[in-house]
Amino acid sequence: MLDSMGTQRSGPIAVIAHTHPSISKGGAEIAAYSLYEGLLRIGTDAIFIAICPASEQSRLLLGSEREFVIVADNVRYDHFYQLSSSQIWTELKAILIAQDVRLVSFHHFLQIGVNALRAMAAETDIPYTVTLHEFLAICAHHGQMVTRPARRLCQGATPSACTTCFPEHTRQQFAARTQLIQSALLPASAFISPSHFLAERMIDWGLPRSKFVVIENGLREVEQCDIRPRSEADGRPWTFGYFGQLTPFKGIDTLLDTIDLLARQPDAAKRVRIRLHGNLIGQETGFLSRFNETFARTSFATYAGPYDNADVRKLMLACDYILVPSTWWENSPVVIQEAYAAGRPVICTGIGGMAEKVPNRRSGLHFRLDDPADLARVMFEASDEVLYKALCSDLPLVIDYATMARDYLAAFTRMVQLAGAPSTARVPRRRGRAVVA
Amino acid sequence: MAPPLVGTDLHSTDRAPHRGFVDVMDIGTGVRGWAVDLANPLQPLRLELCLGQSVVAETLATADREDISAMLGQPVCSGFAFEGAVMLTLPDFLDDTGDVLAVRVADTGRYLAMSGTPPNAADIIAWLRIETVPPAARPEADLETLMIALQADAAALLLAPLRPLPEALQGYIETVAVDAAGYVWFMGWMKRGHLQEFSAVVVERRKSPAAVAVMSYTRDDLPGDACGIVGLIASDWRPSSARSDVHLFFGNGGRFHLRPHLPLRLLTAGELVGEYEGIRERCLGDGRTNTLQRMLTAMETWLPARTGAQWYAAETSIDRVLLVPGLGCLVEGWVISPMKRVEGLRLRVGGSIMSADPDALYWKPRPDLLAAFPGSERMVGRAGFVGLFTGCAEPGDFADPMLKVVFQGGSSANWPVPAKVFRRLGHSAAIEDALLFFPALQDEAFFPRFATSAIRAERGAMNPPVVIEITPSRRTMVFVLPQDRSDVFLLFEEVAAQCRRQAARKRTQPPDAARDTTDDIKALAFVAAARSNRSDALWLFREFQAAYGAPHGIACSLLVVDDVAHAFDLLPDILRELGTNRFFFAADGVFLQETGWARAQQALASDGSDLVFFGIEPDAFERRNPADAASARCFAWSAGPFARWALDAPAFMGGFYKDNALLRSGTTQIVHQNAVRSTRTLPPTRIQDAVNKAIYAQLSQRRPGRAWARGKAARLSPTPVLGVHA
Repeated sequence: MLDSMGTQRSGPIAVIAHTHPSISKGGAEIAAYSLYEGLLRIGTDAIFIAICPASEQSRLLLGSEREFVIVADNVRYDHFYQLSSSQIWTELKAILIAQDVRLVSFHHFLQIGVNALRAMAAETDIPYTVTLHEFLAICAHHGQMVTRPARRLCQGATPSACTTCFPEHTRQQFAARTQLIQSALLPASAFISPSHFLAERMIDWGLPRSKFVVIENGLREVEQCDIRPRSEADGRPWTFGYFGQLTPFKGIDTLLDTIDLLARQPDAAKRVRIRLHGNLIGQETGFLSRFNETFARTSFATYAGPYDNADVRKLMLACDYILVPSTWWENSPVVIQEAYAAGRPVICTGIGGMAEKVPNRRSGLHFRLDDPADLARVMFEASDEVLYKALCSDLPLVIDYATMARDYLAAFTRMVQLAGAPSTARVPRRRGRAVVA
Repeated sequence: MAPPLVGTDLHSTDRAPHRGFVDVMDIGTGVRGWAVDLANPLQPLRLELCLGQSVVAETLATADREDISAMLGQPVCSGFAFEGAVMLTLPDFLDDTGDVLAVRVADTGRYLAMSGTPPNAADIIAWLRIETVPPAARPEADLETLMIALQADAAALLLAPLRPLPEALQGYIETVAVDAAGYVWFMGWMKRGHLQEFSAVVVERRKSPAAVAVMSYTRDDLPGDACGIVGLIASDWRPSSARSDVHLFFGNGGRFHLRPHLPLRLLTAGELVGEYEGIRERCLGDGRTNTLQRMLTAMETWLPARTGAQWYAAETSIDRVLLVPGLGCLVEGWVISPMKRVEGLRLRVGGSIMSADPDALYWKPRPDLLAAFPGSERMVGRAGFVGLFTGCAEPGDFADPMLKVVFQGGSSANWPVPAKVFRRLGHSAAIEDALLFFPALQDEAFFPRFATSAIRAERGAMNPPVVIEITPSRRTMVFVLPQDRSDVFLLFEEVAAQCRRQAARKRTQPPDAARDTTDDIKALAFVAAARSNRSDALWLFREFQAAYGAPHGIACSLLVVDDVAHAFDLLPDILRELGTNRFFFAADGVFLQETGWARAQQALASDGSDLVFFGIEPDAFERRNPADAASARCFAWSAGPFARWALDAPAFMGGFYKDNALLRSGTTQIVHQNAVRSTRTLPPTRIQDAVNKAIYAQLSQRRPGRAWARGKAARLSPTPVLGVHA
């Protein structure tokens, strides 16, 4: 007998992520875990299955018996084709069958392996959806669509172009990679993307538009706050905050260059404060030296160290603008939603998912990619009471995890029922709340 | 069902009268044993050597076997033998790898028992491959053995009446020298048409049995039916004086003879070598000429003293040497000789003496030497040299390398060469390293010989496959795991996907229809490489075996070769390990397309012995000649014909070149276009391609017949006739 979703089982929905939030706080695993919690919150039975590297097992902290972990050996994974040990699928299949799972929501296929998705399609009748968090299907460079080693934005992947980034691989291998990953994704009932930008890229790559649904990431807690207008008379400097991982892809080099530029302008330095929050791990020695030197010689820029995500709202409230200087396309950075939830406009690179989520001069300001001078210019421009108020007044609403879960559930129901029936529906290019095609 | 065997108990009351046993069966000895008909023990039994149902040879048991006669209490002739040469014909009878070799009593259908398991066709192929591998170098050992045998045979000539009839005079000995080993070397001339090694008797006051080996060279002063000779005499005779009236009798009954040209020139060994150097280039290279040359040049002094050179301050150094087994050494170095012109360069490595080939020697400026030799611009302008030193240098004989520089006037000096400048092709040096010596290598005259040696070096580096796990199967798909780690994952996933499709097909079929079909994968063998993917292959294979092999009844095997490029050359050994009859082969980086899987299964299911090629789909950026579709990188065939073909198969750099001459097998070819794709079609390097092209071109010049047969024949048949090349 079919359930309300049209599947043949009555068990929970399984949300599967490439890692567990107790190990890593990346956007994809946070979004996946929020969906799992949101589904439970709205009364839908769900389980959460995470892949855990064997080396990280000791840090694992499961929330309940509804959370499962498959321990994987990092060495037994191929990051080019995204193929895992067949042990992953064996264990995953055992959980799905034991729990009588009615639908699987994959977040990412990293660590899980596209072979697990192919095996699932071949060996079970459990429908599955795939939520895409970056361009890993298209781009072997961590799914960033950024060239290597120059780290320029990639406008489109082709087997020949990709061999420029990866001369150790052949164009035939890239063609095989595309064919392999598409064969794993195409049987999915639906693809969920947090941004139109990502969805369009994936559709151009070869996934069917009819299966796409755009659903914004929901935050764990959303408390819309009143806009806190600055007092024109208080004269205190404008504070620009950065939140997130401190990695080259996040534009930290650009930010350090901007700080150096401002340091050479004493008047400017008096007008701004820059505060960086986030983890500084896994960086090269050269970057670390430069990072430390920059903050040692400037008084207006501060590295505040790592932060607990529970405190992000409080920390953002201590800033006027939130900086998102990423040098890759991004999809739907959670930090933008967090900034909006804290009532703070965003200054970001005017590309990709950031440009979509932060309409220029409406809820924030854009600067040119990897251009410290332009960022400095935009920061000066932003230091204006009138503009600030205007931007703060037009910030979009932010959804919480329960709302996101409802949107997902609606998409699951609709897309699973549609599965097998070709649709020509298009993804409307609208902003704001979740949109189901 | 096991064939009926005759008994071995001579006193049993078994109604069948035949008794017998195979004592020995191997490729060198042949087949030996005994057989007797108790009902008529004096009548020799007729026996057949059978491979499967094919009769390879027949013989009668006519040899005396005292042990059998003693057991029977009467003299009977019960011993039999099929000589080793018969075994070389076995490949012509191979039809099925399951066929076994056995001895049958003619017209009875009963076979002789033997200890151990009768060898099957695969074992025979393995024997032949071992037997026909070129023997390890040290040809002197062969010649010494031959000389001892010929000298022993000469005892028969001692009894013959030896008369120096004028009409039987075949030539003159003009010069003699005795070397440290006691061989008498001589130079002279003789008529053409004689063997190059023969028994003889030396007569000077008394008769001495002797063995003689000669090499020939052209001499303008001789009539057309004669040629110059350089040779050695192994005997206890030593020349006594320049007036020695010695005669050397040889030929049938000693009817021919050579005599000295008086006065006989008695030289030191070194002087004779000097004379030989004068005619060296004219020596013709058949028979054991190379061996004689090596022995001759080894008589020189190689003490590392700068004899006679110190007073004119010559200096030399070797920068690098590439040892090419079977060819010689490519050498780069320099010589500064202010007073005397350098007229020759020789290199000794162990027991091998190699001379610089004048056609492969060039000089070049060495301005870097100016600091050491100030004011010597003219000298350093041609101080550098690069050359091919030809000879039978073998790695196993590597010791005390020494360079000899021969100066104008014949004086020479020796310099030790540091061992660290040596590299060995196929071991510590790649073929591309040869380009450092000869940038236009493929255009050099010696390139075809270099190509042959390079291939030999590559083949010499191969070790037999190591079996990790074998599940024998009659029809097997053999996949060589790619060198690229990611592609190893991909291959296992693609094979797994095919197994999943097969399982799904069975699930959807009614129970009575869900039987094995010809489209099903029944046996898979993976070939990993110890140098690249072995570790990943091991765990991926185990996982695959657990997930798809055992549950779906698919026989899984894993073997390891040293390098993926060796897999094709080692395929006969791999198939023998697998015990397979019909196989599909996919090389490193070859992946089956969906249609390819179906075609492969069809090809495997065939009961014929068709050779089926699978064309590799060109990628969108590649232009490929459709004729290239027939590639040894992917094909299906039967193990028996393939094993026969492989005995004579050429080897290529990187393992593959075009069809690897499979098309010469003469069997039917069916090409399935675009049935497979490749993730690696990186072209070979220019020099690899040139080597392969040269090897491929040499195929068309081959005489009919198999390499193994030629190799065997060379060891069994009489030596070439003197002077037939003239």
